[in-house]
Amino acid sequence: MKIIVLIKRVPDTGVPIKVKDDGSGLELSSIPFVMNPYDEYALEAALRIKEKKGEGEIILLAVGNEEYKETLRQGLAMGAERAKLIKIDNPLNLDAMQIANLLIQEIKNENPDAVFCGKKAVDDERNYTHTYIATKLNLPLIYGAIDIDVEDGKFKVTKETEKGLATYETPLPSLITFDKCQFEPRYPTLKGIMMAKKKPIDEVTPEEKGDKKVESIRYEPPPKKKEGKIIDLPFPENVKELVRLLKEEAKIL
Amino acid sequence: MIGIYLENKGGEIKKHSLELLTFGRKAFEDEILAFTFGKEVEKSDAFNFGADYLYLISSEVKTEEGISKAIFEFLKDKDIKILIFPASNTGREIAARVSALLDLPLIQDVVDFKREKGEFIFKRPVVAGKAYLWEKVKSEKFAISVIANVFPPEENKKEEKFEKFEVNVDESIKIVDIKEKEEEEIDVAEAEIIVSGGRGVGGPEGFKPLRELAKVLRAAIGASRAAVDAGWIDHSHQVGQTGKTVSPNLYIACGISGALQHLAGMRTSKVIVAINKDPNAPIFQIADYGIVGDLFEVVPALTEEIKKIKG
Repeated sequence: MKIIVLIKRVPDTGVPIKVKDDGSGLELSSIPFVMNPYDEYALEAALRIKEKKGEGEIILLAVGNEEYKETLRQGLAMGAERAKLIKIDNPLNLDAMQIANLLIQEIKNENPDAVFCGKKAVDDERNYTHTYIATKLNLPLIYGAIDIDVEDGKFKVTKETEKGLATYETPLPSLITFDKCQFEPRYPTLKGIMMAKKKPIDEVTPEEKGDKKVESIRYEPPPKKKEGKIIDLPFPENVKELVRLLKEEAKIL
Repeated sequence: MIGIYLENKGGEIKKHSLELLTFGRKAFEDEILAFTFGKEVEKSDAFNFGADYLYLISSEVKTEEGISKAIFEFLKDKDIKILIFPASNTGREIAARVSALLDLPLIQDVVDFKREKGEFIFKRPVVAGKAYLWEKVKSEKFAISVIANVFPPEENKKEEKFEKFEVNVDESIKIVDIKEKEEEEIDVAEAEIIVSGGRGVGGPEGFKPLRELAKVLRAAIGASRAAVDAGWIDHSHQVGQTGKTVSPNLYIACGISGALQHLAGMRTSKVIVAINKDPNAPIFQIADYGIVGDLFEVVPALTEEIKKIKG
């Protein structure tokens, strides 16, 4: 089975991020970058399917700059066979449909049995690229898997829905996006890291990027919260005072 | 014409969707064609909150794919400039599927809008609420999804113009099993009040006093990553990075220290209450009201006090 996993490189989520003073972007120069956490779950799911079936090829696919190679190398160390980088100097300048169109071209070239990716990227949070790809390629799409299995040529996908935990069935090929899963992504082993150095990262340079339809204007820091107060009274007077404040000052009860 | 997708539960239109009717009229000052999906709908709410037209789309489908295809069949020959969806869990997915079918650019999770140099621009959170981004669409037709609790719904009575639209579509995916939840839960992403627990609750049993408080407040139960990773509560409750970004009117954080990832996901809540043993917990820096104390003492007392005023 051939599975393409779409990979994005994002700022580490545990680190504070500031908006540049002129609002032109985020201050990212000293921020560590990591693989998008949801993409890590997608990759782990693909590796588990390959191991269960005892055969398969996992291809990492990304749109990005030279620095993306570090992230792809990490995915290769986790166990993917090879990687393909669609080389763009500043991927942040492209909108979701442009990124999708670049990926669509390469997915077509590879003709995989499945495309896996995170349900969203934790940096730009557009939540659209994967759906646009699936729709344009006419691939059945399941959104937000938390577990997956493959049986009789079909994927069985578990996801959370309003009604409860649901199992979906989808044929091959399909595009499946992953939420935080019921399993954790593995860490690369030392052997994996050594082997990854020999695995290929192919580069493709796109000729046509298509029209940009959504344009960034400026960034803003989140609104500042005014200084709060600690209700410095003994129990249970503090609780009574809290309820009074919520009712009379915040007018929320 | 503005198209607005209304989500309903058993035919009753959700409050989040009614907010969109008010938002749509104020933002775009145009006629509103509202549509919802299902077998039946309580029409009056849509017309009381400003829908000029309401369509009920019906189809024998069960998945988000099927619903989206049915909506696409309904919309494909209508002249609609702007499509608006609720940015709920399923709303976001349907927004993306329908927009892609119609080949429209989409901006998800809008929290504000402006007219600047004659063009609409939209604001949305990025990097899990650590920053906001204003964007514009360079296309005459486009779609957006809008976050809950940002634009309060206002009544605006309209004449009832209602029609049904029935359609058959194919589904390539299917639901083979659902383990239905024992108790109906309020989704944290759409709740007006959230009672949230962290490491301080100490175990699955520790959520019990929080659930009792949530019951009197008609609130959803939230959780920090620490509580979810420990297996005390399932991931659908998680607020913050790798969970949900929420913006309720009231957020009560119980035993949550306030890791950066958690704060990013809830900092735009209108009023934040923090209850924590540790006076130095970062959550107090963004709380409007804080109580330093044991949540197992404070939360039940709070439930009793609120019961008193709610009668």
